[in-house]
Amino acid sequence: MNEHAVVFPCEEDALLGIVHAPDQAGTTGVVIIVAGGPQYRVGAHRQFVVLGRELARQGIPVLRFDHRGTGDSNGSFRGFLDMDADIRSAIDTLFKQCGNLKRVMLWGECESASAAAFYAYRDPRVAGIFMVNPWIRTEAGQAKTYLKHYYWNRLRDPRFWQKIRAGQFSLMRSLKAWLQLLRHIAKSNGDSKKISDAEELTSLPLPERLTRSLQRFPGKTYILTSGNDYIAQEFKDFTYSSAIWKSSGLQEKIFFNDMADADHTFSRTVWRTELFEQTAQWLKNHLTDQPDQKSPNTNNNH
Amino acid sequence: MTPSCRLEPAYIAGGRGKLFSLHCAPEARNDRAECVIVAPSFAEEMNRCRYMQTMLAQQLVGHGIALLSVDPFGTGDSQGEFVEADWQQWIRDIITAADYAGQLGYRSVTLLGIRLGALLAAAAAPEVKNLQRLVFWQPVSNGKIALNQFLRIKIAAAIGRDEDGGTTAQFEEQLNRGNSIQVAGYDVSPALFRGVQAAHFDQYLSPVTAPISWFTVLASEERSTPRADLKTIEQWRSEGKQIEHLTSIGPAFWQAHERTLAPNLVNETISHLTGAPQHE
Repeated sequence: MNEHAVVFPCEEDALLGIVHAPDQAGTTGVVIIVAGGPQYRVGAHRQFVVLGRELARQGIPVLRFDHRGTGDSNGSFRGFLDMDADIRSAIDTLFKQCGNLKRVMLWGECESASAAAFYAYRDPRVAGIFMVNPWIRTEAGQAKTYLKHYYWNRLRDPRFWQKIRAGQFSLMRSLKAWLQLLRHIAKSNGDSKKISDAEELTSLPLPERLTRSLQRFPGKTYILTSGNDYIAQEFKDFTYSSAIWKSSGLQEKIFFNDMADADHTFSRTVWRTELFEQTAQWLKNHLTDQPDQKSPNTNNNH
Repeated sequence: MTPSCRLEPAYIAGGRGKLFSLHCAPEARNDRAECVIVAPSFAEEMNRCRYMQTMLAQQLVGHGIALLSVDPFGTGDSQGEFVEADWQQWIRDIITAADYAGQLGYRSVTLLGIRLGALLAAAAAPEVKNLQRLVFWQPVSNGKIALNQFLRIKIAAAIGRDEDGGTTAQFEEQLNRGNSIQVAGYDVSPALFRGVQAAHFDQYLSPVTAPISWFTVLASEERSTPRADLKTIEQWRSEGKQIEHLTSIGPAFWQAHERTLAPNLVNETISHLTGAPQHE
């Protein structure tokens, strides 16, 4: 088993990642995405290091990486609502590193579980998402908060306008997204069913954005929650009570599990071991070269 | 644009296994090029401080100064489990990092000790070649106090779960029987626990001859440096040490659960390292 560092590009910035390459690598890899908090690629109490090593020991190649503005990576911090380019670059990198890779499973916890779902349906290489305690915390004013803290700050930053003048069009796209967001806020409680375009999901409140994103994802999803965690509780409450979720058909489509005793980060050996076993087992049972992979749109069998 | 730096990761040989190193290299290097080596903080604090060192590196390289970060054995991306780590090995790993800086061609070394890492830096200092100075960010001067704070996390977590969390005395007993204790996901071995418990500036600073820049982070202008720290600084000054004490206004980035950065501390460290040729 080999473990090595990679420096790879994401737009103009260099990111740092660690590849766990098994001797006999399978065709399904795992990209571990780090939440937008104070963590970096090693994870809380180093659990992503241990997870990466354990999966690789079982023949599963893994990439853990720092998205822009976190850990050792360059670039400015964007947070989990804007992680698509980072995730795409990471998947590109794992494919480059592992010649016989056919598909990946995205692994995320908290904010990065949601980030994985927001991204997955737009990349056919993603066959599965393993979500741990997904983050959907929001108020009606969530979009406004986003506007205030992110776009408003950007508009006031002279470097933003310098970039616009320099013709860096990725920022023009960003501006477009911002205009869509403004429109959404103006509509206030506008009818979200009208939203059809992928870009526009970004303007939805988190729970709905997560629901719509998962609905569009043709692969398989596993959602693991901890019994002793407010963030997981908020997510569970949403699935129990929300009409959006109930009418989505996701309850039947997704594999759910709750680890009653565990806390948010699975900070005891017994919980951690169970978490890693479930990760490896589910991947092996559902995301490897098996007959049912030929029709990725049928997700009824877990 | 956020400044960026060239990232040169490598695994280097340590005493008990491969160590992950990250060299943030300046574009142009000359014979007098300086390298700042990080002695990281402990457990979850190490994660929380990681981007602070990245911000420092991004500015340092603009001044032709490198930053080298080597994860001690059993931490970060280095080999080993956390439970296999011990304090003496960590000290040797800092010396290994300094040797590696020499191999990379740096003839001038600064050790940056962050929190508990200040004790590691002080312990390693006498064996570091070409050491110019030590810089401390909110240093922990007594390992025992840091451990007590760490154990409180365990007790608090247990209270939150209506469990019997145990007492410090019970943890001691457990360690004396040769068992590790698990705190907030970190398995601390008796060897590591005892090593940190015994670590103290009183033990490490005597042989240190390099000047020390001690940064205290204060939440606001109204706050002042803890009395105990001032006393320590005075004591070492009276014994002839060159200690410059600097304060920086900013949040306690090492203990926040949300992403928290103290850019002032980074900027002031940069000015201190690059703009102030005379020492007091």
